[in-house]
Amino acid sequence: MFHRANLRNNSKNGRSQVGQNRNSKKKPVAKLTLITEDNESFTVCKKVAEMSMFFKNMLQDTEGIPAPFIVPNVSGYDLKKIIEYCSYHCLDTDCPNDNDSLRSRRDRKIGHWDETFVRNIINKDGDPVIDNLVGLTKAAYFLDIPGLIWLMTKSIANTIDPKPIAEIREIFNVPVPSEREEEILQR
Amino acid sequence: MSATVSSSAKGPPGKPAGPAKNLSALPPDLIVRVFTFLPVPDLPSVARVSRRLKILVYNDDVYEPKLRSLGVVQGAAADPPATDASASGLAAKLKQLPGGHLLPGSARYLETGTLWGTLQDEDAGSGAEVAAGEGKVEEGGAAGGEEGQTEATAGAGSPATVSSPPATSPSSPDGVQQITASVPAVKKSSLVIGTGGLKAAGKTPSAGIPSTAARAAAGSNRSTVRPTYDGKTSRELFRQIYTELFPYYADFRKRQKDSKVFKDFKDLSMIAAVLRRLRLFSRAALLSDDEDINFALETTIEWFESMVLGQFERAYDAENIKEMRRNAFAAHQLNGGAACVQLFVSKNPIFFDSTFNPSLVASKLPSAGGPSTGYVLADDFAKFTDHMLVNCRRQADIIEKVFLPSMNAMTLFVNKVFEDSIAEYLTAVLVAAHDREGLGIYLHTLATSVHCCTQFVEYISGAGAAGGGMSVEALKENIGAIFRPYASRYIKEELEYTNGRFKTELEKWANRVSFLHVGRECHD
Repeated sequence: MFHRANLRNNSKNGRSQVGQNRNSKKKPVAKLTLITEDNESFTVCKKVAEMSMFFKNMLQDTEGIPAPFIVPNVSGYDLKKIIEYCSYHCLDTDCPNDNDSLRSRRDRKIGHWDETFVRNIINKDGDPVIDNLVGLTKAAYFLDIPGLIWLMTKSIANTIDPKPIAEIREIFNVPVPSEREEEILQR
Repeated sequence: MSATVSSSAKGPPGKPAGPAKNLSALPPDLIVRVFTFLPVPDLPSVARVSRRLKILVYNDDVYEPKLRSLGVVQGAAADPPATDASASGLAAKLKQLPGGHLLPGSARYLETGTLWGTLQDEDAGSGAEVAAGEGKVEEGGAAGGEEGQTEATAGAGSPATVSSPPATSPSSPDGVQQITASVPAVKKSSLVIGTGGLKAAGKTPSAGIPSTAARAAAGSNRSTVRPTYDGKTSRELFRQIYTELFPYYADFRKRQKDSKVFKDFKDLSMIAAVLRRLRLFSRAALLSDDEDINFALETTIEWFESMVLGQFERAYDAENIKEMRRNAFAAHQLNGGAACVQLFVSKNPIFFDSTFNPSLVASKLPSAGGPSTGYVLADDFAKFTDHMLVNCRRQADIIEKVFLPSMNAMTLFVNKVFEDSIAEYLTAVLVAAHDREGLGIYLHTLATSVHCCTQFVEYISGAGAAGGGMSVEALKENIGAIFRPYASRYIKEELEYTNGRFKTELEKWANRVSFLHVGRECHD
């Protein structure tokens, strides 16, 4: 657990501030305080938070910045990574979305920054890779961040892609079926 | 407030209880999204991993983007907007409930819950039901319940696809459809099914029928949300297209001009159509190691196109209308045939016709000036447009025979005639009128040429109606653009002239008044 504390420190000095700096050049930035379900708090500027359709709708509906906001279903680690992603991408103009054609979705290369971003999720403290990918994907899905959902699903697809069935079973943590079930599956 | 909110919002798409441990913990929607990135050959191996994944691989959402990139347009277009509206309406209602603002923006999460249920099914009552359903599946087609299931799906499914022919949708009860129908029943993990299956063996199958049928009906309720393609689901249609095209596509790995396509199809336009579909197929990026195939395919298509164009050109030179038509149709099948139309237009003799040469306009005029020679210019232009009209009508006949109406060849041709020949001649005439004669002659020539062009367009659009629909509006706009500078030039000069006239007249009056004044003073 204690690595989280480290990461939290990082997040104070790290990317999330870059995002703030980018915005703070123009006008005083509206800030939003988020508290995750495991009681970590983050301060993000509105523009970064609005990468998430979830927060965007919420901010529209409440017409203003609510007091410290408790984010359900999202852990501190996931939110930290999400803020890192959003801070970097909040000024992007072409986010991948569902309406893109399959070709452009398939062909869109994972950018250099994104690749490092995903690799860092993977290499964190020797934790199993897939766990964090899954957690983050679900968090991104819950917060409805199209670009991040694309990145995560694509990365997961890349881990599945060339593998034989046995390994895919391992990734999905599916017990090896009995012969009879195998027969049914093959039908 | 936020405390109550956070507890009430645990529902829809968030984590189920317990920490995420592997990919199976992802919500079905996300797994389906992951699958859309996988190359098609991977899908069967993923399907063999477990029942749940198999069902998800069979989900139509996996195939819809593929179909879209294969250029298949949805048959029942009226369907999805309606369901979208109802989904977003529901989402809007949910948003108004306390804590509703915690819901995500899109209504997609609503779809997650309907078919698959929540991820961890806590519905205790469904255990026996699932077991019964499973028992039936294992008994094969013997139980009458299965037919009931398919019928239920078909019955509930067909009203949704109003526009589809009824013959295609309810029939074809192959094994695949049965699996789809029993989707809700197979959903449980295999372990539960194993034990339940034994219990189910003791039960009479009929006990399970009403409930499973109801569930199947509920499931097909959801399937009405699916856009359908002429009564087929996306997956069925994709499978059909894929199995049809894949052999030809894979054949390009080794061969190009001797490919199977050229052996199986003899008709030129058929080959072209298949090649076009193959190109879409390659662009859809369905395989992972397809670069060499795509390269071979592209070179073959280029070679084929240049061959078709070459044949077209030869047929054009030989004035063989039938052969021209054959090749034009093939080019149209391949890529719309724009290149073919271009070739036709650029080779057309009308642009090399030297009967009326714009550079000779000025020299044709009689050397003596005066108003009578000025009118010659307008008459000359009228003769020129008559000549062009006769030519164009002759070409319209050919175009009608050679090209399909959708290729818009006539429009392109007439536009080109205007842009090149008529505009050039017009310039020569008007410049001659302007430089050699007065403003009056210029106006006369301008008016006559506008009149001639209008008549030209009218006649051509009359002929064009026969020679394949041409967009008269675009043509009119084009002509307007050609005439605009001349008209504005005329208006400008006329204004200058009028202003000058006014000025001199006013000066005359002023002189006269002052003269009168002086005269009166002298008188006194």
